[in-house]
Amino acid sequence: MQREDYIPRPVVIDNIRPETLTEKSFTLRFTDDEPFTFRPGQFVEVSVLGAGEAPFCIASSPAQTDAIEITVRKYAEGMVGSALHERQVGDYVGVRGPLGNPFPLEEFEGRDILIVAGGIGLPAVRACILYILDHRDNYRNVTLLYGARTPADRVYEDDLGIWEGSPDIVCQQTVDIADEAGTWDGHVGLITTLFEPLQIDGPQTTAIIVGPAVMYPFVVAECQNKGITDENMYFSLERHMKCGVGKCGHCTIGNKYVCLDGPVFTYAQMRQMHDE
Amino acid sequence: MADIRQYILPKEKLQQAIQRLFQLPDEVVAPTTAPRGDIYFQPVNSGAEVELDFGNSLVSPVQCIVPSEEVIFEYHQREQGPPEIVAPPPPAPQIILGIRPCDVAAIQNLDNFFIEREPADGLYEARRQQTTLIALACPEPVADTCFCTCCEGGGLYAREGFDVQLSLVEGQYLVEVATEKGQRICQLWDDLLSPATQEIVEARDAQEKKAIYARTGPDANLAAAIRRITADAVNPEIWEAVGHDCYSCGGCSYLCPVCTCYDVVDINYDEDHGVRVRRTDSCRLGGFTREASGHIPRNTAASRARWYAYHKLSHDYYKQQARYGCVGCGRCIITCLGDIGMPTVCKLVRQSEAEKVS
Ligand code: SF4
Ligand code: SF4
Ligand code: FES
Repeated sequence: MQREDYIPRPVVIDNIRPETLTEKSFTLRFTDDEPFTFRPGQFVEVSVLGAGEAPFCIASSPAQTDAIEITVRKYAEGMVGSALHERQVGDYVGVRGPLGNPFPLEEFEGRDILIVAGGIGLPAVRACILYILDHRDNYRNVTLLYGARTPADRVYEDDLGIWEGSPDIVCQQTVDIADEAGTWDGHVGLITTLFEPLQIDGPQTTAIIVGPAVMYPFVVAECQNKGITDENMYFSLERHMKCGVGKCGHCTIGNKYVCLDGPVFTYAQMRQMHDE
Repeated sequence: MADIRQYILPKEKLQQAIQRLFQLPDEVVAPTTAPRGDIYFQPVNSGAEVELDFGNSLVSPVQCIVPSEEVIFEYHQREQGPPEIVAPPPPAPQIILGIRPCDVAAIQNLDNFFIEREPADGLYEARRQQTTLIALACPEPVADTCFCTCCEGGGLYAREGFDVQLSLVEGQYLVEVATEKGQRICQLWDDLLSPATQEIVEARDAQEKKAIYARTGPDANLAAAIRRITADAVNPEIWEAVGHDCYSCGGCSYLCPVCTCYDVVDINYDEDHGVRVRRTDSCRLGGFTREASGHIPRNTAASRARWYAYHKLSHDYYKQQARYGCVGCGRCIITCLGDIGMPTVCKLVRQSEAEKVS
């Protein structure tokens, strides 16, 4: 029987990379010798002793087993995120996990993949993208649509650059508002505006959608328009997950514990959630 | 029921039986009377402190297994290398004497939730394994807020879930032993017990039936409310009305022996030393679902009232926890400032004009 004792594993901060004004990415290396294995879409609870514990999705490749990468936004009310932002390379923090259900990427084999990420949703799908690129022959067309508020709000810019130049993935970006300096020569408009020109074989496509919740209804409508079924739209939901193992009660939506039953759900499942 | 052994303990031998519990290394937790008359469970050192002629305690003895605050671990940051993390010492054995059948049923819910539903909660499981329950059946409903007989598997005596149970029937105690833990207690009482007769067992059932027919307590009829809530066939106006009368004080869920939600907090003793604790939390409080961004998904008292009823009474959750989340102890009736304890909510739900929300 599986048992949770809530004791974090020690990890050392190996690298800190500022992404935007409010976001930083951290590489956390395990210091015990046990390999850390996970599947894309799973999350970890990260401990900063004295500040607490908070959930973060794993943004690094599942092929790497000695370290993980997380991207952390600093919020005024987020104690753990703020504390992480003050940490330095070489500091120790803690990790529990991997927790939750992954995207069932094996089930998507042989299909077209459409990944839609808004803002800070990109880290949550980055592990998927890296996994799919590692197993590229198992999938047909792979498309990434990424939308951010402004050019400066984009995270993982280096990756985006690489993917834009890659023959293995179609990567399209947009920003809601171009910056004043006028250096942005890409697409401007809400993420939904990227859908119109897309050639998609709807019934053959599985969508992976992560972003702010406000974007979901609009993206769902676009996907439905293209013929993608509710069963083939996958989301990763966010809640304030304090324990990550179905006990603290903080993450419930309707009849589901996001931490235990999710965080990955299909749109068909979300429609059955019975929530307020 | 097959492997429950039944004996008789003469009433005048009860004190002697209780006194012998102190021969065991276990801590004995029992109901005691506070100076102003309230009953509360606490560790005792002699039979003289124990009060077994009582209604039920406002604070459930379930607190001995799920304390309102417990240490998850202690930490010491170090100059170099990873911090030292020290798990709490394993819990000592304890006997809860005098726990009522509703609270025994609540512990069965908690066992399903914390242990059976994986992953098991290590802290709960450790304390639970060290706990022996000596239940005290109710000769009749002990308070006019009780409605255990409206609840799943409820009744004036526990059918399962106890280690030992004492039922006062016609001036003597029917003693039941259900487990090995209970057997250990019974060995202490060997010379005080005689085999139970068919008469006393039947007399207890007759006594329970009579009490149920005579009772005038709140009528919860959970089954009907369960059907409505599961089908989501409750007019949203009901939740608005309940939310209107709710002060979001959290009292109902803090006292509810079935409620499990907790918060996790780090307490710093000094710059590099502290503890991580978990504390009872309440889904009725405004900020319960607050996220790091400040967004609060369930931000109205009505949405939280709906959620509370749904989590306790919908079949969707029954499937996950194998029990409904109310045992009819009546504590939420006693504490609620808005007079919207569980039976009142069930009544409103039953009477609500069926209307599919979605
Ligand atoms: S909901 Fe109320 S009556 Fe039911 S178990 Fe909880 S406190 Fe007792
Ligand atoms: S005890 Fe009553 S007023 Fe307080 S939170 Fe519960 S329902 Fe609301
Ligand atoms: S995060 Fe604690 S129950 Fe889901």
